[in-house]
Amino acid sequence: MTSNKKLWIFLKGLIAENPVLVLVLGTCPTLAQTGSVIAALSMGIAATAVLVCSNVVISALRKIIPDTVRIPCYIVVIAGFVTVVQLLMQAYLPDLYDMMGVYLALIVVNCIILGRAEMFARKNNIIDSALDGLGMGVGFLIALLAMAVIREVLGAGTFAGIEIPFMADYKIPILTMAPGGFLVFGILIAVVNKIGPKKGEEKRKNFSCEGCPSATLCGKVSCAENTELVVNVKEEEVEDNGN
Amino acid sequence: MSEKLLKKENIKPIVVLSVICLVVAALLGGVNLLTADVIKAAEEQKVYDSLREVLDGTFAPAEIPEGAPESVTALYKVTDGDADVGHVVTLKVKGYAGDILMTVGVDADGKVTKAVITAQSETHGKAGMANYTDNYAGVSSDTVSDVELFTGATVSSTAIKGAVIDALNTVTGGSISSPDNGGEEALPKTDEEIKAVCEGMVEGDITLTDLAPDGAPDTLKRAYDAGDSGYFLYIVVPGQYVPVATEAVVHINNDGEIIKVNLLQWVVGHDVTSGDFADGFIGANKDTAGEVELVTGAIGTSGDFRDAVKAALVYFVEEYELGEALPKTDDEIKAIASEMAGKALILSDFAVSSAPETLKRVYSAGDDGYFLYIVVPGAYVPVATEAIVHLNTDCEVVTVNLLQWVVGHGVEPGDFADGFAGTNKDTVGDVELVTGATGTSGDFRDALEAAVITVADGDAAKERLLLKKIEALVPNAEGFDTVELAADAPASLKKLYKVVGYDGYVAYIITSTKYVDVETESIVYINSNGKVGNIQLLTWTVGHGVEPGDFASTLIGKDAEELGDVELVTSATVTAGNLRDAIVDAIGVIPVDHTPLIVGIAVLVLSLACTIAIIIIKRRKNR
Repeated sequence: MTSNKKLWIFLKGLIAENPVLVLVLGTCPTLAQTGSVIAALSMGIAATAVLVCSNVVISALRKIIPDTVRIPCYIVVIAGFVTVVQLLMQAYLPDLYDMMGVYLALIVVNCIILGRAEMFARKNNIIDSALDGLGMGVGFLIALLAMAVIREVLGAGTFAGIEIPFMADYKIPILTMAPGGFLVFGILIAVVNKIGPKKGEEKRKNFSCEGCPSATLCGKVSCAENTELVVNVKEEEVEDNGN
Repeated sequence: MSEKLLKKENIKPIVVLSVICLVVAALLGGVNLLTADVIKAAEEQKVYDSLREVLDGTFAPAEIPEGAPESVTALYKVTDGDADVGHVVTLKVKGYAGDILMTVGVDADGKVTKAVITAQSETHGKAGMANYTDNYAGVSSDTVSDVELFTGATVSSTAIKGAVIDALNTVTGGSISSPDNGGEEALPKTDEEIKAVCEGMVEGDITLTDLAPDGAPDTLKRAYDAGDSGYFLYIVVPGQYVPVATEAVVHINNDGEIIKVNLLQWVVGHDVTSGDFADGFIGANKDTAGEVELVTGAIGTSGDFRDAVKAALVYFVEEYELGEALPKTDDEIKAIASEMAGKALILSDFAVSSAPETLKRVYSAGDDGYFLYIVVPGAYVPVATEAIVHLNTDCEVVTVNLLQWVVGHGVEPGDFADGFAGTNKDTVGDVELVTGATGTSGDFRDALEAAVITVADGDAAKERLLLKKIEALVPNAEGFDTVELAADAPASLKKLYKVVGYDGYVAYIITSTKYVDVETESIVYINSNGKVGNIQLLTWTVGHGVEPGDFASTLIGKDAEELGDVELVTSATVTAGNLRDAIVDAIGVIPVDHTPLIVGIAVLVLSLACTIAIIIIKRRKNR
């Protein structure tokens, strides 16, 4: 792979395949932790750390882990890393730990991490997986920050806890609450989808079936480019059953 | 067939998964080792920081007084040099989504300095709750009930309010009731309206303190302490003959006599006015209130009301001991007690059953023992002999502080009071009397003896002593819950406690033999496997001075069956045998907990079944 390809693995996570705004994964922590910039920052960094580590480990073990138990194995690895992050935060950053509360532990079931393990890490080498993890993590962080800035500045009139003098009279409190969160989220998704690469063609070129949100509905036959992939997979299955 | 089962495809997943789990577990163990101490230190630091946030000075841990609310987790006394700055209480209360940990500082005047939340997982933002606790700065026991709850977070703020009230109660020894979260009876008048009526009944201003009468008659809805002006009772009697209740505010003085009855609502079926009925109560006390003339034509309603007033008076006078003015107030007694101990004590009322007339007050001071306030009426002079007696936790006299001693002819008590030091309930009656005042000193000695016996033999004191010994038997326990014994429980099993925070039970066993008059008392810790974990013989007496030796230790680690084979004490086989049998009986009473075992077996069987099923299905697929 050329270095361009490697760069693209990292870059695609930022906008083109932003996990939150394009792949629509990990929406729970996105909505919960974007009430304040500091919370968003902590969540983004914690999730990125876990993502990179778990991607690396899962990629390293991809030849060893049998298909039948791959999900439990992935979860154990992810949960292990999340617990490590939890313990380290509790020991050395107790204030941040308190602020994140239960959402720190919920990173285990953050779809982004399991999703990337499934979609990417188990089929690619360690370096690529690490880059993908980093890209997705940073993309997650960017999305969180974008939302958090909007929600905190416009909703609470502060930025990272610092009062903004003229905002006090113009703040829109609903933005810090759930309905406002969904509103901002939806608008951001719309904006990114508008300015980002056209979804139609891109999807077929760069997506695998596992990465496509409509996979279960389409039965893997509607993406023309992927038909070949599907045929190959079906052939492999037939061979297996013959054994 | 077994070959196929053990084929690589089937074994490999299990092995790989297990190995990954082990490796991750090891990694977590390592990180935990690294961070556990740091985390603990950080948590403690947070608590200490919160302590200093509410009150500044030198902190000294203090014992939580008995009867303090359950929510209190720790108590600290804060001083600045010699000055008493106040107390800090840490509490844990149940909030909406979990426990709320709080730290409340109370200054020496009984006012809250600050209340902070140290940990919470409530669903509403931290900022809101943190600001809410500011409302409690400066409140005292009188004003705390007025603090409003936090709209939209009623459960959380009720818990916080309850915590502050508990803190105030613990430090001041008061007993304000915690706020109710709804479910309270709707009264015809609100508290404010009632208080307004009370204030309207007297000239000048009065301060009313809410009282929370325990065990008050149903019709006595509210009671207020008006200091020197006496008390106000708010009585509501449901209408029997009409659907309207009779409502009144009764003003009594500090001697329990009625000053005025204000009938707020009086309705009878057929238009008979109360007339002079209310005034008929003036001057009545708990004994005479039942004789007030009823209203002709409304005997039922006025009779119900008269009964309610009488019941309220009887209850109130007994509960608050009206009409019985003691030479010293409770606060004065407590202050002198603290002086005697040489340090600030937290005293709580100690209940004793059938106390002698002369024993006016008993206070428990935790590890410092008990303080008794004794007043003996003067038989030879019209002045009472007054004393505060300090007993240690074993009910031995430490000091007798004679506050008042007057005899007819100027005889000083001299070393009389000191003569009691070190005596207990058996020896206190032998203390030398004062020559020339044998009557007065004799009366006092008798009163003191009766008092010490009451406290020492009282169930509460006995239980406390027993629990102290049990605590030493099971040091890892957090507490002990009394277990009710069934009617067919063995006679030797006097008390059974379930250990809290640890497993097992503690049995208090008394056995006797026909050979000696004294019983053998012992406490036995039995773990959840039905084995003797620890045992202590509290008393052991046999006719001819044979020591139990290592008998008790040979019982440890044995279950009911093995106990039957234990070697008994030579020459005391009956006593030892009775004890052993009693322990076996006690083990038989204790429920053995099989649930962990059952759950474990069920999980194992289930997973085995699933694995076999999966393998079978796979084989079918491959066929």
